[in-house]
Amino acid sequence: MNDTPFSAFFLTLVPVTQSGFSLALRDGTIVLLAVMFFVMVLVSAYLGWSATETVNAIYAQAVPVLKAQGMQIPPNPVGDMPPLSLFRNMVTYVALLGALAALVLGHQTVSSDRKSGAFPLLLSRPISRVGLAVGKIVSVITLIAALLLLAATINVLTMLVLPGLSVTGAVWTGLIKFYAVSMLYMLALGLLGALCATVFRTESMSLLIPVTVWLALTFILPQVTANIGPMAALNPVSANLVAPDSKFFAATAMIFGPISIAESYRFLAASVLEIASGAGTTTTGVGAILSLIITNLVLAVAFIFSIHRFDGSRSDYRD
Amino acid sequence: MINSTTQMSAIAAKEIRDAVHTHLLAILTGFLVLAAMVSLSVSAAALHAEYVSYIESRDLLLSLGKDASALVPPAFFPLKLMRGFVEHIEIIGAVLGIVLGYKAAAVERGHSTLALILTRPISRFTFLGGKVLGNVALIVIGLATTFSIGALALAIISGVGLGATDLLRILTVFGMASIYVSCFFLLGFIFTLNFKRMPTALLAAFAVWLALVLIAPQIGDTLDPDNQVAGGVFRTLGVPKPMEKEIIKSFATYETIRDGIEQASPAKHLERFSFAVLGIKDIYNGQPLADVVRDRMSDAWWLLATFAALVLALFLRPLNITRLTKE
Repeated sequence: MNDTPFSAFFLTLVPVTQSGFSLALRDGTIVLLAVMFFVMVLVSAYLGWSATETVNAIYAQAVPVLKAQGMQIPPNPVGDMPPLSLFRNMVTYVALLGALAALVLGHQTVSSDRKSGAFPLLLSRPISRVGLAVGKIVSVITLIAALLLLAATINVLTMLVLPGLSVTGAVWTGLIKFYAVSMLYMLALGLLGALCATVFRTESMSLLIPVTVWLALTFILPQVTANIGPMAALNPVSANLVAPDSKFFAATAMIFGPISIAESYRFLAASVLEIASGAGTTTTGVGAILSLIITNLVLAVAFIFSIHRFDGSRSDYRD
Repeated sequence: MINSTTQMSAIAAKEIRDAVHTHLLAILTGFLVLAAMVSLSVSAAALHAEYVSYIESRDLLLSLGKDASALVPPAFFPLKLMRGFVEHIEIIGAVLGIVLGYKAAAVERGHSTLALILTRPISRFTFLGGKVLGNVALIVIGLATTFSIGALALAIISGVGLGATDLLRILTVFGMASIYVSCFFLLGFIFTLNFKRMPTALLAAFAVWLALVLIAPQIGDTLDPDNQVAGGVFRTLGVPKPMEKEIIKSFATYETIRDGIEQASPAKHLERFSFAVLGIKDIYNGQPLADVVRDRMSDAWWLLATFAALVLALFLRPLNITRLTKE
């Protein structure tokens, strides 16, 4: 048998990835969050379509009234809405349900091994710790990709079913870009979950800390950098309004913008779906994508390092 | 023999001591205070930016020799700055409640003391009552700290002292927020007592929180036609207010469904009640507190009914002996 570190790495990688995959599929919580996510994916297109139809109907009723009053008739505000904007709610559902599902998925990938006592056994074998960590990362990537692929399939089916939609090549490209950006954001949360599951000694804290970070990323940082209130952050239209033009917001955007990855994700996703109305004062497309990529790299390195330093003899959680 | 009131008080006092020792309350309240302070500061900065923009526009018009009377200066109502503060209570306050509920049950299951306690001459009602009392007291302490610091910060940031009426309005919202957070405490407590695995209970409680606090209001908000166009559909179309009301009448069914989805969310009831009491909702701004409370009493009843239903669920459901340990 070839015992080079390189072969040990690959011999570890494949079974660890497979094991991560099967453990996640057996976990009821992940399945519950995934089902909630898929239901909302299914509902999102209908919500977008229904809301747009309502605005159209309001316009149809407003025109004769405005004419009778002798007022100027403005153009229909939904007249030039791009088809992909029907999926505007997806931005919110990925940022809420998708992110939480990814976080729990990353967490369970490590915590299941810690609780089952597999870690001391694994680490007593001549395996590569880096291979083990990379295997875990690959299984998180594969699972999140599978989750998003299923969500994309649901989107495509709803697009074909809903009336009045013209599906062009640009629409397909936009949808692929949207899911690529969503993958980057969800992966960051997945890696955060895996990292916290490794470094904390109690399972409760290893769940609560990443949830708190996610809360801060989703609801506190966007308010600091762009005056987006917590509830406005849930609305795909109001979450993209222009930040007030002031020195305060210019300074906070400069300081916190690079770490405000929920905002980066929302900006990129909204741009791809062509629903961005004002965002851009706090970030740019390149800046946002760099922020997501760097966050993923930092978290991946931190996770590999945490597995490398992990004390296998005290692997089980205290609670 | 020790009576049940003494036993209940002892359990409640232990809950408070434990939370103080583990710094759990301090950490959770600290996070809530931080979010609330950020919200107040950002709201004040946004209002200041709006005011500076108004002054610049007015000066520009005056320097061009034009009439600036058409420009409306931004109105300043200190309590309106609490919009984000209330929204953080809705989101993070509910998480605080779930975590306290989880901890209250998990600490007994983790140490396997729950089964032991129930072998003692103590009724299930006394034990659960003590737990609920202690944690509701913790919630009241945590929220009282947050609201006190918030009120103080509001007075400092706005530079306007808060009057007795303002404080009474804040106190009313604090009372309703305590009931709201207690509902989520009960949810976390019931789940952790009854689920086979404790982390699954915590995540299931978070799933309910997601559905009720974030998704239901989001769907209601998204379906609001006025939120589909940046700046509002009626404003974009230039439709005057009386006409807007006429047009909306023909969407009564749509609005009923939309409102029904929002009504499912306890967070929305807290929001509607609080925004009315604090005058954040324009139609209630400047109205006497008693009139506002009377008008929004249905929201208060919803929250009280949810709390009562959860208390009933906790006390009526027998404790499953197979669920009293860690796993």
